[in-house]
Amino acid sequence: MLGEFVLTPLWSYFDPGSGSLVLQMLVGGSAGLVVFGRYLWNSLPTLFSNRRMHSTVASMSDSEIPIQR
Amino acid sequence: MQGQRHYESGSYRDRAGRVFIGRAGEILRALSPAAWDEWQHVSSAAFFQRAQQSAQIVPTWEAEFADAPIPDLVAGQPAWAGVLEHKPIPVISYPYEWSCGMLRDAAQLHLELLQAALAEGFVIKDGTAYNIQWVGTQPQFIDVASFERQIAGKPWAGYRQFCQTFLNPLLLQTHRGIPFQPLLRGRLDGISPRDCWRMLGLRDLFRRGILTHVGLHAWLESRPAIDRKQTSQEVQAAGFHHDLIRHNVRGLQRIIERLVWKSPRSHWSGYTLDNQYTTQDHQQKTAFVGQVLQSQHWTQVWDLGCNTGEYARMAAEHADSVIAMDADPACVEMLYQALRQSGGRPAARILPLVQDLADTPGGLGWRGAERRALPERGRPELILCLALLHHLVIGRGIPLPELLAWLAALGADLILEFVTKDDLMVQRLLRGRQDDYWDYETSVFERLLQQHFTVLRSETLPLQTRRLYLARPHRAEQRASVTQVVEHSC
Repeated sequence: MLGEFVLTPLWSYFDPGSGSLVLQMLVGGSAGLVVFGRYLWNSLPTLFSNRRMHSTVASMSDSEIPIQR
Repeated sequence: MQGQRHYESGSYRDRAGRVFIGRAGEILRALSPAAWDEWQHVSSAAFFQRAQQSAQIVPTWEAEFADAPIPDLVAGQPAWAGVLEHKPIPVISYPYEWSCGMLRDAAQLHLELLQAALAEGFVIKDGTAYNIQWVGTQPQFIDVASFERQIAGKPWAGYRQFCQTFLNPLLLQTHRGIPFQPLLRGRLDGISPRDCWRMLGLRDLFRRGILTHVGLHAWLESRPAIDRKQTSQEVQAAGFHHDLIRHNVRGLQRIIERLVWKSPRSHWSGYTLDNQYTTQDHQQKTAFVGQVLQSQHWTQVWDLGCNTGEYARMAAEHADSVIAMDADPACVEMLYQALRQSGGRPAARILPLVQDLADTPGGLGWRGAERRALPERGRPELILCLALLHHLVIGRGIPLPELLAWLAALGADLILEFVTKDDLMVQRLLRGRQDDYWDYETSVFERLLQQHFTVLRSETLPLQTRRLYLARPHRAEQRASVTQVVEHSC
């Protein structure tokens, strides 16, 4: 609950449409699955860096979170 | 405000174009240089011309740019490169006013146009249900600026909108029996995959498309720290191509084809089988309404509380357009399906809409002006209000003086059927209620009616508990209090 509360200011910039873009590979049939596999492979480094960012933000106290406008 | 021109409040979402009203009431759409360039390509495409000929896309042509009274966005900063003109839609309606079958047919039209566009290297960049309007029972795509050339490797940007405003509402209605109209009205962006997922049940997991388009969609959306531009580039780099969109669209078409709502037999859908009319009553009522309808040709007729649409069908023989309204989505669905099946020109002029007069939607969205109330979107010349008042006054507690004042403000001739308290149907309504409806008495009603209207004709039905009136509002200018804006959403 605290995490959700603390993270809200950052996630107001989060774009849910990104998930829809990724999903379009999965609903694109067998050819889409191949493309999705390639996408996963290519984005492995990004996924790890995102996870690091996520965990860093979650461990911050309220005052440490940079104000984003 | 006179002299000042404004863009239609519902057209701000696409920054590549804005809709405004011309000097003679024309529906005009200004396009940015980039959108104008797209229009030049799209308008000459075979699929687009075919769709215009078959009225799947609103008839559109280029207007004289120099003559168009384009409102300023920022003074001295030209934003537009060209202007299009659209054939006006009789009444703008919104998806939260449609029945399930209407939303389904609108979704199928959207996908059909997208599939045709993709085959020729174009795409519809949006996926919102608000881009579809109705000319009678014919759905029509109105936002021509949504068509653009497909960029290789770019996914369909409107997919999420399509799920939120078409697919998810239809899934909830058909699989869970949850009416989508209040949900769409509550959130103009539609029902998010996450909300839809939470409303679906365990057995729905095994239905076609639920796990992917809703479950997986909700999960992917909830993943943090994804950037759309970065994701789009990564998806393109992975080799995304337009065949994947076509496959997705075919899949959506197959899902939506099966989403047929088996509407329960509601109280209203069975009303015609369960009322007090004798054959003689019915004949006299039909003759009364018929004589008024035949007296002239009407531009627009509203049938309030249309039920099975018997009188709306009669009106369609003598009117350019008829808006048949009922609060019960099951009734509206039955009427829509019946009209689609019966075919013929008069039936095709009727637009059925879900409208609860005690709870009419209006003033929604940005500035409370994006989605307007119905009286601001249409201009009836004749209103049918048959055996409806007792439901609103006794059933819903609307004060009769306010109701008649509202009807008068619409500025149209009125055929009204008043049902007295002695009538069995009113007795049923009063059962279990304390009768403090002092205003619902024949003498009070007639006095109030004469305050706002001139009664041109009245007749009592043989049943003696029902009386018909033809009334004309005292001041046609009362209508002026209701803003008359024909808007085009996009």
